[in-house]
Amino acid sequence: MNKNFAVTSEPHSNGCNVVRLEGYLDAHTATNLEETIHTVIAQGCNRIVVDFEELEYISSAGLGVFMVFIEGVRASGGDLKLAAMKPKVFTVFDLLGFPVLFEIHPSVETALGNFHQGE
Amino acid sequence: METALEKERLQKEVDVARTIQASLLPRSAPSSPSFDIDSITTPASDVGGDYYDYVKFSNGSHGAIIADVSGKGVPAALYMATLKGVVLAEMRRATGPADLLRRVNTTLHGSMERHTYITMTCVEFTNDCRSLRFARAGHTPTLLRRAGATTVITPGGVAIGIVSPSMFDAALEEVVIPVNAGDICLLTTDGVTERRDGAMNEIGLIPISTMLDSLEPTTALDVVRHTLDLLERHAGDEDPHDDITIVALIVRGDNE
Repeated sequence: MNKNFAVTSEPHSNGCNVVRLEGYLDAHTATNLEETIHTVIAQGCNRIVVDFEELEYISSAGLGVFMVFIEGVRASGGDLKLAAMKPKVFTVFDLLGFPVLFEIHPSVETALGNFHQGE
Repeated sequence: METALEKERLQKEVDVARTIQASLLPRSAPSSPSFDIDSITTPASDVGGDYYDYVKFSNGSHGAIIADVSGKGVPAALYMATLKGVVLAEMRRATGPADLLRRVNTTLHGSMERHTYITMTCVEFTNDCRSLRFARAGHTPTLLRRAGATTVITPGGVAIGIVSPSMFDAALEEVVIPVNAGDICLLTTDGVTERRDGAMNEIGLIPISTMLDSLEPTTALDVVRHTLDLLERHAGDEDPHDDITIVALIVRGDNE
C-alpha cells in the first residue's frame, strides 16, 4: 500500500478543475488536500471533480475535508463531484451516508460530463 | 524551564480531562432477566471521541448507543461530552432508536464545525427482549448472531452533523429483528474493525463475525473479552491508532 499522499490539481477545458488524489489520506495529509481545494476555489473555480482512482485509503479526517467546501461551492452555483473510487474507499463513504450529500461518479469523464449537462 | 513547567501544566489538565471523560460513561449496566449487556472503551490517546451509553426511551424500554466523533484528542472529547448531554436530554422523549438519532441530529446540526461529524448506532431491547430495534447514523455495521449464524445489520442513515434534518430524516431507516435466547448483538466503533497489524492490515468484520458464530459465552463480558483477545492476536505489539469501543448484548432465556 502506498502510505504517502499526493494531490495535484489541473484545469480542464470545460472550466472544471480536476483534483487528483494518490495514496493515503488521513489526519496528517488532510491539510494538503484542504489547501489544494482552497487554492482552486480562490482562483475562481467552483466546479471541481475529485479523482479518487489512485487513492488507497481515507480516514474520517480525510472525509471531513469535502464537507468543508461542499456548501460554499454549491452556494456559488458550482459543485464538488467525487469520481473513480476503489470499492474499499467507496464503502467508507457509503457507510457514512455521504452519497446523500455528494455526487459520486464511476469515472472522472462521467463527472465532467455531468457538469456539461448541467449548463 | 518555563516550557517544561508549561508542559507539566498541560499534561495535568489532560489528566483531569481524562478523569472527567471516564466519569461521563455509565457506571453500571442495566440489569434484567431478559438480557445481559456489557461494554468497554479505550481511547487511543489521553482522551477520545468514542462514546457508549445505556438509555431508556419514552415507552420505558431499554436501549444502548455507541458513537464515534470524527477526529481525535481534545476536540473529539469535547463533542463526546456535548453528545452525552444531548442524548440525556432527548432519550426520555424519544420513541425509539430512529427518533433518538433524529433528535440528536436536529439539535447538533449547524452547531458543529464543518469538517466534524458523529456516527452513532442505537439499539432498543424491549423488556421481554423478543426483538431488537436498530437505527444507524453512518456508524460501523452491527453484528448480530441469531441461531448460530452471524449477520451484518446496516440500516440506511447518514452520520450526524452532515446534512439538514430533512435530508437526515429521509435517509434514516429503522429495522426490527426478532431474537431468541442465546442470540448475541455486538456493537463496535471502527477502531475495532480497523485494528491493524504490523503490516497495516485491518482486521475487518469477517474474523469478528466468525468468532461470534462459534462463541458460547456465559456473560456479555465474555463477548467483550473474546473480541478484545481477537484484536490483540491480530495486532500483536502494534499500538491502536484509534479509540476502541465494544458493546455486547446477550439475549437471555427468560423471555419466553
